Amino acid sequence: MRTGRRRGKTIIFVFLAPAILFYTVFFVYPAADAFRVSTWRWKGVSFENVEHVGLANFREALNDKWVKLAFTNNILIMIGGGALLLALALFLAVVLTREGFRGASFFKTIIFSPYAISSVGIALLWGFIYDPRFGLLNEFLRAIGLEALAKPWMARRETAWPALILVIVWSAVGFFMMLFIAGIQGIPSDYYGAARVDGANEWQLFRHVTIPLLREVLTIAIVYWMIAALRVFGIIWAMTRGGPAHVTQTVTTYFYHLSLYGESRIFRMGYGTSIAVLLFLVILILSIVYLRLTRREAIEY
Amino acid sequence: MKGKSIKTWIFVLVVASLVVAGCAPKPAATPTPTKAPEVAPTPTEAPPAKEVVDVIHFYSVGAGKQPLFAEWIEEFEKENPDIEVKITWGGTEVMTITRARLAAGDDPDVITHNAATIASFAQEGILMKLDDYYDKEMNWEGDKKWFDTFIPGAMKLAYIEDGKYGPGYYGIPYETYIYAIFYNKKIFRDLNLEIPKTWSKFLDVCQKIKDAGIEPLSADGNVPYYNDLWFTKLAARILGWEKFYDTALNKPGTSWVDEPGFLEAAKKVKELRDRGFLMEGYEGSGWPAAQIAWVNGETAMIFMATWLPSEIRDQTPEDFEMGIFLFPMVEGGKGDPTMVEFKYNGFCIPKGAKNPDGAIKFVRFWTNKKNMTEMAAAGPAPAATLGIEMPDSVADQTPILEKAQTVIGFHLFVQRDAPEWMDMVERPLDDQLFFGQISPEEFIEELQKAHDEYWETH
Repeated sequence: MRTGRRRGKTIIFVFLAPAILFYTVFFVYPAADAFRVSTWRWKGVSFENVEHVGLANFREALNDKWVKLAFTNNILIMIGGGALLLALALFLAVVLTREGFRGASFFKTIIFSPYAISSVGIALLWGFIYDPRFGLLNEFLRAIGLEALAKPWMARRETAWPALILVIVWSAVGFFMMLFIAGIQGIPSDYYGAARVDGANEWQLFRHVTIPLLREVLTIAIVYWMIAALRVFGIIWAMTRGGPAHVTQTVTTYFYHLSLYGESRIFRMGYGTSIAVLLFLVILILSIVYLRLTRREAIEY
Repeated sequence: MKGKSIKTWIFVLVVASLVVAGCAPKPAATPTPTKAPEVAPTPTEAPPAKEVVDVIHFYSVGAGKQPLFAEWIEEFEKENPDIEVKITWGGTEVMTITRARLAAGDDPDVITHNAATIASFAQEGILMKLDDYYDKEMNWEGDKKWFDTFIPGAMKLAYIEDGKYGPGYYGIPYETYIYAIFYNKKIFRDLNLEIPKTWSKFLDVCQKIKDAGIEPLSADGNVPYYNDLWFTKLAARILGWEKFYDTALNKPGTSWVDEPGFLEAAKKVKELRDRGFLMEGYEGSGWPAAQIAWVNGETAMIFMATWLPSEIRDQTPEDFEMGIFLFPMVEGGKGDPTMVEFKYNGFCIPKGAKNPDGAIKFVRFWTNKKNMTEMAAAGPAPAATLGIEMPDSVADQTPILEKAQTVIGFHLFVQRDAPEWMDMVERPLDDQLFFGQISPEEFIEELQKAHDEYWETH
């Protein structure tokens, strides 16, 4: 038996080895190397010009008002965007899994489709919608007599963030909806039947059957969203480049701006990398803490 | 159990052999026996290996003048059959591609970029000095020294005082740009407007255009380095560009708050907005909407670099007439009224280039008279070489440059020498001023504060 288990482990190792090797060389090693680069003052071009500065980049990042603003913006996406996103995704999942709902497949496809569009495509589309002069949104507001509400949406932090969060939610809701649908479809219908017999209404079914039995899926969804919200880059960069006046910078767009963005010409690779390392640590700690807090016995059906 | 063990090992061996076979180099083909020829074949020598010139260009395929440039490369290879040009069209990823290759020690032979980036590469020690080539090389036509074919202002920028390998020429310009105010000639003609030479006349022109029901000025609020053209140019006209530069770089005895000229410049920026001269919704407008609005006749003027005609070439109606004029002088200002900001796009050669001689040959071909003439016409783009007819749209660039007593780099050289300051200190506050979110007084105060904080840690 022991020999059998060892043999099994050998086979597993042999099959996994090429993938592990590839992943280690092309993902783990560069990521680990970021810790080294984060202790350099370096423009990211010539290795002759590397200056070792220890933790100075981290000290600067912790005192950098733009880093603080960027993290605040990420938290805004995480909490504000997350609340809207998860509530909407759950609502859509519950509606589309109702028995007898006609056209459920059609609606699932339509709602999921933005998730398949690239960030640049989404940014172009919504850039046109939000354009202050000829955009769909302002033209619609003018057409229904609400011209006073038509504004340059991307010009101020107060309007740019709701506009951006709407785009992010629109692009991601389909994915989370499908996640919840899969979870809901895994709940045996007997539970709903029994609850109905006991006189439960729709809201009570949702609160006392669906939510508890969906807890693990919800946990996964929240962790996934937290990480996604902290890592968001494409839509923000394509729509605003972090502007105006850096008010829509997220952590990823900010360190990209500092280290790689040709137009700014700042090219502080070492400093930008230190911010990326801080982000990694924040994601790691948040994920561990959240998973620890929500760890409970799995509900067995 | 034993049978299972054998099967397991067969499995492992099969997988391992597949992996090894996949990784192993292709074995040489086994020669198949052929019928002996009647006549012994004449032994042929393998064709000599072509010399490679490895070029990174910052256009993407299909963008702007790229198809024309691709034709030039084909022509060059035809004229020089022993040379192969390995071209990478980098587009928006050009800096990532370039920096990755330089960091990996895989230097190309030619890098294309703008003057400021070439200057920073020179300062970092990435580039070779080109003085020797400029001293000895003739132009492609062979009738003039190659160095003497370039516009002096362009060569002035190509000369880097603080290059890592000493002061010298590190760049090879091929197209040149200035910042100017583009105007719709038809609107000016219809309203009988003259080109304004002073700020107050400029405001009068804006007012007349507005009274005629046309929006005077286009602007895309999502481009900070276009937004801050107004404040920086006004400051340069009022105080002289050196004052702005010295203050930005925190030279002793300088101050934003204590120099009233900066507040005056900020107030003039506010005036543009307060008087409704900027197009509606400019704060939230995304590039290139402002350019499109201008070329569609919705606005009369746009403050832009002379690459504008080539950027909007495909959207420009055939009968659209455009002209340029220099940013007006502010009455009583100390700055040189002829001062113009100038930039080139061009080439540089990394010090690790494997074929620098081939690279020079390539760029000498690139900057020949025929190519520069074609580029000027088709771009349309102002060439960096002398004697090339300017495209109509920017025909005034040459007289502007000829009259200029001061020719400096874009964004008053501050973009080149303190890019982080400009990007993280001045521009965020300038956006707020430009959008009317803070007053000129608040702008100057906040600018001083942010400036002091920045220089404490940099």
